[in-house]
Amino acid sequence: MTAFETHTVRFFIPEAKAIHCAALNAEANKLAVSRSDNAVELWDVGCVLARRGAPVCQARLPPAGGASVEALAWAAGRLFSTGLHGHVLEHGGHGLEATASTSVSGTAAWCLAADPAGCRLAAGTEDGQVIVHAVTDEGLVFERRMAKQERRILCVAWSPDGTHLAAGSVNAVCLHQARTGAQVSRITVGRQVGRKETLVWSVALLADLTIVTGDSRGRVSFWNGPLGALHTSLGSHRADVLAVTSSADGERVFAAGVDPTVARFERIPSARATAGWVRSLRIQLHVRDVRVMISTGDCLISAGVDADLVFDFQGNNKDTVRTSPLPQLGTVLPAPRLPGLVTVGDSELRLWRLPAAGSDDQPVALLQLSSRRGEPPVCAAVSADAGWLAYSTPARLRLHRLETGTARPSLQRVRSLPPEAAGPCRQLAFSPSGDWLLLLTAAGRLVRLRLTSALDELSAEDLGWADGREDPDEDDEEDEEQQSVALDLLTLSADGQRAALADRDGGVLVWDLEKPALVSRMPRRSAPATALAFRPDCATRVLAAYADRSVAEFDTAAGHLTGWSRWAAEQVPEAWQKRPLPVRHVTVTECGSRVLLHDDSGVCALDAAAGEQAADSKRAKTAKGRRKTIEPAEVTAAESVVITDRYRHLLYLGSLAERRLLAVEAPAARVEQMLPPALRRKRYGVA
Amino acid sequence: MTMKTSDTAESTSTVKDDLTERVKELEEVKVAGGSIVDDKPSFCADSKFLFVINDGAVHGYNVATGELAGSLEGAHPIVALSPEPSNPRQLITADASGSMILWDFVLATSLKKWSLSHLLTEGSTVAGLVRPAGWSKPLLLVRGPGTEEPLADLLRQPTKKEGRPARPVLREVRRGAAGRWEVDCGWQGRLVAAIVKRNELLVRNLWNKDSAAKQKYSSLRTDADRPFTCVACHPSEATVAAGDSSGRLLLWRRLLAGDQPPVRSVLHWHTLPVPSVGFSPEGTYLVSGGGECVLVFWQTHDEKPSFVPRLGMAIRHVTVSPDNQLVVTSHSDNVLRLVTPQRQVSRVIHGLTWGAGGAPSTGLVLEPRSGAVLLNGAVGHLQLFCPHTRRDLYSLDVVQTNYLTRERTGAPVTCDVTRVAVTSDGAWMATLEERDDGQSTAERRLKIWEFDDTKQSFVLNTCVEDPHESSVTALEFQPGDAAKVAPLAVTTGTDGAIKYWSLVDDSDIYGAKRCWSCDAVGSHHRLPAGCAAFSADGERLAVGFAASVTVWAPTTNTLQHTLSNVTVRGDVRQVAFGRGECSHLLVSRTDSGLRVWSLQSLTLTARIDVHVTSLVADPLSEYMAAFSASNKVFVFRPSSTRPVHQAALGRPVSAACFVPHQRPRPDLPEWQRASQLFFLNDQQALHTLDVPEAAGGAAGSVPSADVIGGQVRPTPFGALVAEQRRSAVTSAETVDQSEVTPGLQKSLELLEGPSHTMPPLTRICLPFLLGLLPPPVSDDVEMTETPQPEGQGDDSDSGEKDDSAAAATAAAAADDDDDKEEDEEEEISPAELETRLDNLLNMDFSWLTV
Repeated sequence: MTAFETHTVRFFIPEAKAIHCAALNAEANKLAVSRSDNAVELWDVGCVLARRGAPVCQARLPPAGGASVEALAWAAGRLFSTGLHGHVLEHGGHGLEATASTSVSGTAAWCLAADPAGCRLAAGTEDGQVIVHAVTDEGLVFERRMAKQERRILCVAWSPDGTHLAAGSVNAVCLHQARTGAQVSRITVGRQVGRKETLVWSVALLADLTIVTGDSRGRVSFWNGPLGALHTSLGSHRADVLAVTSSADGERVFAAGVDPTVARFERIPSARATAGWVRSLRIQLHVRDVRVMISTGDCLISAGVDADLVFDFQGNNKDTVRTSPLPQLGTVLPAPRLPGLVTVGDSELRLWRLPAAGSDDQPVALLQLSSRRGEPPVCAAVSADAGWLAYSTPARLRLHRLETGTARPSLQRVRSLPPEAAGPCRQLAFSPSGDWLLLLTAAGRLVRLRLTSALDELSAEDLGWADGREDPDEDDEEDEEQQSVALDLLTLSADGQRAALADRDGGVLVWDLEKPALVSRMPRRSAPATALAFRPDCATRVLAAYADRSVAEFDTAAGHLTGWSRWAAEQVPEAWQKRPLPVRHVTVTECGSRVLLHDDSGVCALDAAAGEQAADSKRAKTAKGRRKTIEPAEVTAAESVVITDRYRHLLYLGSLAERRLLAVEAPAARVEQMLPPALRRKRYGVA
Repeated sequence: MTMKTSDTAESTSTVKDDLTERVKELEEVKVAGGSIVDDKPSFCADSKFLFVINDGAVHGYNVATGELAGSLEGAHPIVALSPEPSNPRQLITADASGSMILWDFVLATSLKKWSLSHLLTEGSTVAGLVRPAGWSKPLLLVRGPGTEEPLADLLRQPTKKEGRPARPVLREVRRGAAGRWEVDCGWQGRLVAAIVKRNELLVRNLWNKDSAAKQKYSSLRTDADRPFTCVACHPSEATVAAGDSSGRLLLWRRLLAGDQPPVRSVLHWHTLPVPSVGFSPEGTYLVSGGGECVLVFWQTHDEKPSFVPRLGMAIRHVTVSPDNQLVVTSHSDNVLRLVTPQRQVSRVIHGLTWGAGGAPSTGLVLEPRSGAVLLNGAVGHLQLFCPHTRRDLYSLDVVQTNYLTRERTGAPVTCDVTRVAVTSDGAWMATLEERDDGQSTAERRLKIWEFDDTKQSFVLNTCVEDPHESSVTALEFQPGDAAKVAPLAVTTGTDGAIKYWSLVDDSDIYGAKRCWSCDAVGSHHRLPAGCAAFSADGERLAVGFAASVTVWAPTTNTLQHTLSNVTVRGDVRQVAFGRGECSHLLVSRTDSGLRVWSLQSLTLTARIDVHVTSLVADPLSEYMAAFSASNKVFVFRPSSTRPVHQAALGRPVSAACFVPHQRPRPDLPEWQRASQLFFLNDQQALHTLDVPEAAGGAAGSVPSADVIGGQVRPTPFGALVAEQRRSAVTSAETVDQSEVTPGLQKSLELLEGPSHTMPPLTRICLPFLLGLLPPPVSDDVEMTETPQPEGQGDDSDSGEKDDSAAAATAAAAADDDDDKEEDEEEEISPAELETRLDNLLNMDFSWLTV
C-alpha cells in the first residue's frame, strides 16, 4: 500500500441551526427535532440510549414556506407538530412530510403534549386555551377544551397517569382535570422586581401532582398542585429557565434555560411532613441557551442554541455523548473526475473545481445554482464528471446539464422530465458512466432515468418498489401504504450494475440493476446503517457502517459476510468502536487498498485486503492489528488499522483519484462564530 | 586597656550565694497573650459565656460585654472542653493525661473529677472531646502514640456495666486546615462524621450499637487534588457539610438512608481553602469563613450567600451560638469577633493581637503616659497594652491602608510598622513603616504623631516619605530636659546617614502649626549606620557603625569619641547608656557578647562573652537585662560584672521592656522595685519575673458580679452611675406626717385654745418660733470617700527618682509604705498595727545617713 495525498477543503461552512424543540418516542427510540429554520429532523437514538453507539440523523424535512414548528409530540408512534399556523400536523411521510392537518382553535399554538398513554394530544394556544384531541387511526378528533386562561399558554404537561394537565402561561400556572376540563387550581407565580411579568416557560407534573415550573426569573419552583401552595422555590439560574423535565420515577428534576447550566434537583425526605427538594448538581453541558430537556431512563437529552444534541449519562459530565452541530445529511457531493465537488446549502448548490494534484492553485467556484423560489433541496447528486447535476425539492425533481469544459461554464435545465421521474425524490445517484440517474422517489419506488444529450427525449424506467414488494393489488391499497419501508441510503457499485439501499432499522438491500430485481439482503442488525459503499474492484461486495460503529462487508454473490468483515469486527480498535459519533462515509480507495471510515472528527483507515489473508491463514491473524495514530497520508504498508483524530467537523472524506483523497472540513471556530452569542456573564478582571 | 571579666562560671556561683533567697522567690509568670484561636471556641448552653482554651487554661468570656469573666486552670494543661448542655454554668474539661473535670464556671470550682487513664494505652493522649446531642458523656478523641501524622481515634466511654475497653467509633480522624480535629456530630446525636483521609469523609450512625469493625460506614469522597479541610453536621437532619481546599462547600443530604444514595450539592464562593464551616442550631443556614476575611452566611435551601466582609484577618474557626444570636469567628491575629444576626460585629475579644509575622518588629516600647507598652498589633496597627492591668488599651492605625487578603497564588506583601519611639513625656511618637517585596520600589515612611489631649490619642503630625535612601536602622527620641523644650528625633540608615529631626514652625495664615523637619545629617566614614541610643540626660548619642561605637553630641552634630577594640569583631547590634551611678558607662551588644565602655577613660571596662539576643535598660534605675540565646535572662549593673539576678526561661524571648510599677511593690527584689521586666516569648505570650503569690493574686482576682453576670449598661453614661449611693443627706422617711408643714402642731395649739386661757405671749413665743424651724439634723453623717488616684503619686515619685542615686529606690518604697499605712489606718486592728510598726522598725533606714 502507498501513501495518499489529501486535499483538505475548508471553504464550505454549512450553517449550524439552533434546536428549538424535540420529542422522544421512547418505544421506537426515535427523536424528532426541530431547528430554528423550522426544519424537522428524525434521529435514531436507540444505540446511544443503549450506550453502544451513536445517534443517527435519518431524515430531514426542509422548511417549507410558512412552516412553523413550535412544538413536537409523539403519540401512538406518530409524530405531530404544531406552530403559529394554529394547526396540528401529522408528519406521516418517510421524509417527514405532513400527511394530515387539524386546526386547533384558529389562533397560534405554542405547545403540544401527548398524554402518557399516547392517545390524546393537548395543545396550548395563544388565546389561553388548552385543547385536547384524541389520536385515532383516522386522524385527530377534537375531545375537550380546558377551562380558559387569560393569557397565552406557553407550556403544557400531563401527569404521569394522564388524569391531570398543567398549563403555564404569563404569571400563572393552572392545573386541570383532564377528564372534565375543570380547573383544579390556579397558581400565581411571583413577579420579578420592578413588576415585570413572569413567564412560565416550562412546566412538569409529577405523580403526586407536584407542579414544577421554570420561569423567566430564573427560578425553579415546586408547587403542591391541588392546594396551589409553594413547596420550595430555588433561584438556581441567572436567567430564564426554558426547560424543566422530571425523571421517570419523579425523584429527580432537571432544569436549564438561557443560563445553560443544567441543574439537578432531588427529592429528599424532610423532618416535616412534605418532602423537600434540593439542588444537587450543576452540569455545564452547553454554552448557549438550552431549550430542550428530555429525561429518559438514565439519560438526559438536552439541546438548544448550541445546535448539538447532548446525551448525558449519570449527570457527571464525564459520560456525555455530543452530536455535531452541523447538518448530518449530504451537504458535500464529490465529482472526482472533474475533479471538483458540489456543496449543498440551504437554497443553493455550488460547483467547485479543485486544483490538479501538486499544483498550488486555489479551488474555483464554477457555478452557483439557486434553487427555484428558494426551496431547499431535499437531496442532490452530481455525476462523476460533473456533466449532470440533479436535486429534488419537496415538490419535484430538477435536473441540469452542465458544461464545465469550456472557459465559461454553462448550465442547461432539463425542462421535460418523464412523469415517472418528475415527482419529489428522497435519494439520487448517477451511474458511474453518467448515462443514467437512479431515483428513489418519495413514494418509495426506484426509477432509472436514461440521460442522453437530447434533453427533451429522456426516458424513465420504473424498476418497482425499492423495498422489493410486489405492486399492490387494487383492493388493499391502504394496507400497502403502511407496509412501505423507509429507505434512506442509496449507493451504486463502480460498474453501475448494483445498487445498495439501507432502511431505518438495520437492513441493507442490494439491487441488481441489470435484471432489475432485489437480489439480496444483508443480515439485519440491531443498529441502523449510517453509510454504504461498494468495493471499486469487486461489484458484488458491499460495505456498511452501522450506528453502533461496527462495519460489515457482504458478498452478494456468495450471500454471506466476507472474511474481511470478520477481520474488521475483531481488529477495529476499541477506541474507534466507542466513539459516539456516526460514521458519515465509507470509502474504498480507488486502488482498493484501504477502507476509509470517517465520522465528525476522526478517520479510520483499514487494510482492505487484510481479511482475505486472515481467512487464508489463521497464523497471520495474530501478527496483524498494530494500531497507531498517524495521519492517513502517512499510511505505510505494515499498518492495517490507522486512526487519526486530527479533524473537527469533517463533512466528507473520500477518494478523489488514485492515491488522492478529498477531505472537506468545517473549522470549529468558524462554526462557533455563526451561532448566536451566549448569555453574557461578568467575570472578575475581564471586561 | 581591657579589663576582662573573671571566669563567668565563678561569678555566677558567687551570685548564687548572694541571692539564693531572692532567686527562689521570683518565678516566670505569664501576664497575657498566648493563643486564643488555636481551638474552636464554644458557647455554654445559654449562650452567655464563650469558652476558649488559652495555654492550658479555659478562659470564659462574657458574650454580652466581651470581658474575661473567669479562668479555669487545672493541675495539667487543659486540651479540650465541652460545655454541659443541661447546665449552662457547667463544663467538662480534659487534659492530655486523661483526667476529666466537671467545673462550675461561675464559682470557678471543680465539681467532679474522673480519670480516664484506664482508657489510654501507653503513650496515647487525649486530644479532644466530642459531645453528640443527648449524650450524657462526651466521646473521647485519643491520639495514638508515635504517629508522625496527627491521627486520633474517637472512643465511646464505656459504662460501668460494660467495663471493657473503650470501643472506637471512628478511627484515624485527621486534622483540618485550621488545625482542629475534624469530627462533628449531628442529626440529634445520631450521626458522626469525620475526615479520615485527605479526600475521604466517614459517616456513621451512632445509635447503631455494632462495633467499629462491623459497623457500616458511609464514605464520602472528593477529588484527589482538593482534599477536605473541615466538616460540620446538620443538627436535625442527616446532612453533612464539608469544605475543601479549592474553596467549595460540599453538602450531602439524605445520608444513611439505606439504599438511596446521598444527594450532593456544591456551594462555591470561597477562592481560598475553607478552614471552618458550621450549621446554625436550627440548621436553616450555614456559616463559613476563610482567608478572604469574609464571613459567609448560606441559606441551605436557596444557596444564595450573604456576607460580612472586611473582618480584619483570616478566619480560622466559626461557631454559631446555641440561641442563634451570635456567630463567633476566630481570626489568625488572635482576635475573636462576635457577629450578630444583623451581620454586624458586636464585640471584639482580644488579648495580645498578633501581627502578620511571628515576633513584633517594633519590640516592646514603653509609652510613659499610660505606663503601657506599644507593639505591633494587627497588620499596620500599633497596639497599646497595659501589662499591669492586663488590658488592651487601644489600637492605633498607623499605615492606614486596607489589609490585603491572601490570594490563591500567594500572599501580597503588606506595609507594616517596623520601628516606634516615644518621647519620655509621651507627647510625641514616631513610627516607621516599611514595605519591601523585593520587586517594586520599597516603601518607607516616617510618621511623627502628636498626643492630642482632647482626643486622648495620637494624631498624625508629619509624614516623611523615604526618610533615608535605604532602609532605616534606628529611630530614637532625645530624652532629658532639653528635649522638653525642643524635642529632637534621630534616625540612622544603611545609607550611612544620621539624621536629626526637630520641630519647626509651620504656621500660615490659617493658624499656628508646627511640623518635624530634618535638621542636620551626620555620617562616619561612609559606613552604614546601625543602632543608636541616647544617654539618659540626652546630651550624648551613641551610634554603631559596623564594629565601632561612635559617640556624638546631638545638639551640635559633632563626633566626640569612637570606641572600637580588636576583640569586637561583628557589627554592633545594640547600644545602651548606663543611668545613675553608671551614667559614664555604655554597653554595646554584638553577636559575640556584651562590651561595657567607660566614657570617662574611653576604655573597655568589661566584656561578657555570652550570645545575647536582646538587651534592655530600665528607664528608672541603672539595671539592665540581657537575654541570651540559651533562653536565660541576666540582670546586671553596667558597673559590676556580677549579675544581680539570673534565671532560665521557658522559651526564647523575642522582645522585652521595663515598665514602671503603678503601685509600689516592696515584695520584689531591689532591681525590680522601680519597674518590672516584661518579655514576650516566641509564642507571643507576655511574661514577667514575679513573686508567685502576687502574680497569682492578680491573675485570680475574682471579677466583679456584673462582669460575670454580664449586665450591660444601656448607654455609655450608664457606666458613670454607681450601683450603690451614699449621701450626706439622710432620708426624710422618719419624719412625722404632722411635721410636713413646720410648726403646724404649735399653730394648732395656739389657735385651738380659747384666748383667755392662753399663757402670756412671752412664754409661748419661743416654743412657737422653735416649732416653725425645720427639725434638727442627726450627727452620724458618713463622709463620702474620695480615693486619691494612685498613678499621680507614682508619677511624682518617679520624677524625683530620675537623677537620684540607687538608694532612692528604697526611700521611695519606704515613703509609699508610709502613705499606705496612713490611708488604711482606720481599718487596721490594734494588733495588726503593732506588727506593722515592728516591721517598720526592722526596716533599713541606712539611707538616712547618706
